[in-house]
Amino acid sequence: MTKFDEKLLNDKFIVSFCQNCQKFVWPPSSQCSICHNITVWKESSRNGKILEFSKKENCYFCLIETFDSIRVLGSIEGPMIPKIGQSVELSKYSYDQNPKFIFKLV
Amino acid sequence: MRKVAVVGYGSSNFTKDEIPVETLLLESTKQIFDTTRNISQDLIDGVIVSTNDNSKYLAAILSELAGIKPKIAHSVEHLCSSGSNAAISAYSYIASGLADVVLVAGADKINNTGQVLEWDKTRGEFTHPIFWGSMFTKTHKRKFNTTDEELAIVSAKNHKHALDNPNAYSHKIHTISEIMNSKNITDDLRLLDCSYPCSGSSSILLASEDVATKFSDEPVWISGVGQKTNSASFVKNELSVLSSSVTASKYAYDMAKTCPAEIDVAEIHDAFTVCELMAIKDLGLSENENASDYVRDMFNTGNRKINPRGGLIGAGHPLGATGISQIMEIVMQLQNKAEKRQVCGVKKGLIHNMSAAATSSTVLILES
Repeated sequence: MTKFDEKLLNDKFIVSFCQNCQKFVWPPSSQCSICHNITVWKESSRNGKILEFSKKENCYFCLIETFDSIRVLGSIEGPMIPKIGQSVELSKYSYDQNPKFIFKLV
Repeated sequence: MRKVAVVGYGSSNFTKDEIPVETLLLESTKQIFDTTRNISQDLIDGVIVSTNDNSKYLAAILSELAGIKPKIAHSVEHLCSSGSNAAISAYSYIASGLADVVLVAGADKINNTGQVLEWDKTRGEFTHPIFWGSMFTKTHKRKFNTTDEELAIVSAKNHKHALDNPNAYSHKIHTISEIMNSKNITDDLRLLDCSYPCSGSSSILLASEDVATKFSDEPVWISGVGQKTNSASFVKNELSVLSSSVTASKYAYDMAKTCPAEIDVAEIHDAFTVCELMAIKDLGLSENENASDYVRDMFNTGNRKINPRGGLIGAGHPLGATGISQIMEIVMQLQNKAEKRQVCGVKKGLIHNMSAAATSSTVLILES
């Protein structure tokens, strides 16, 4: 389990950040993919928008892009039908072999 | 650089059976020895194994089992496009002069681990390929007004083609209606929109221009090679275009000094039905924005130009073998030996093989 995974378990969405490039490095990495400097951990925005979505059984799964340009596949809380471009907030995280990202519509 | 030809091939049946990967590799390799004239173990300089299997040292194991003591022996793993990348490794050894004759053998078992890329945390809990397949499909529907029927025609066509492929995993006709009414995997994918992993093995024998005619009167030349990797993470992809395939095909067309209009037959990586529509457009094989009409016309007229062996959907998808099986099909087409699957007047053929939601793609062009 990485530090990213451990922090998710403790309800913190922290992501590697390059202080030289002033950019988040995603998925998490110990080095920046542009300048190769060592990254630090930094809490990232929980808010973003829906780029695409579909549904499996009763669960909507979406491609989300946060305000820090971090993209993840996550699920949507509740029965509401999502829309492309709709604003969302990362509301829950957990970890069970893989991270789980759960968003709520805002 | 020396010219490189495919001079032999072999394949196991693609099946749901759980078969040891070593057994699979040996089966398709044996066919090469059985069907290629003048081949003997001492003439093989290199053995490259393409697989997602977790077994170690498989190229050395296959060499020992087949009685080969090659100069070069190693595995290639690149998820679903392992096979075509292994072939390019062999091509490079021969073109550079490091080897004259290289055996490329690909195999995977039905329960291989190559379907899921554990490293990719960006997929969250949605690790299975059906989730990226659903995203591609949803975007295609929105952008091109693609219907479920148009997607189903891809599957119906490829299952129909697979009927005439003796090695195929599926030998069953599926009507468009059956496909549209097959089990919903997600809101945007039905069971028969998907290719399925299976056990299988395919092998090819590559040789330099200096020795190719010793093994075959009809060597098939690799004239174009294109590869592109954009990322490993699915989320960095564009959803409406297979951008790595666009780039890889441009490299291959340029190298072969050809263009899409000159391609007579193509094996396309139809992991899901939408992938065939996207690839046909992104490889330039159809001028229309949406390739649905192009595929419908092929289905209605019995034109087998795209995926004559049945694609991944009809033939099955033993990951490490898939790219090699695609190459084998195009070689047979160029040698006019594809029997009921034969496309008329084939002079140039294309192979499109991709990995992990097209985060990387490989394109090869072959000529007789």
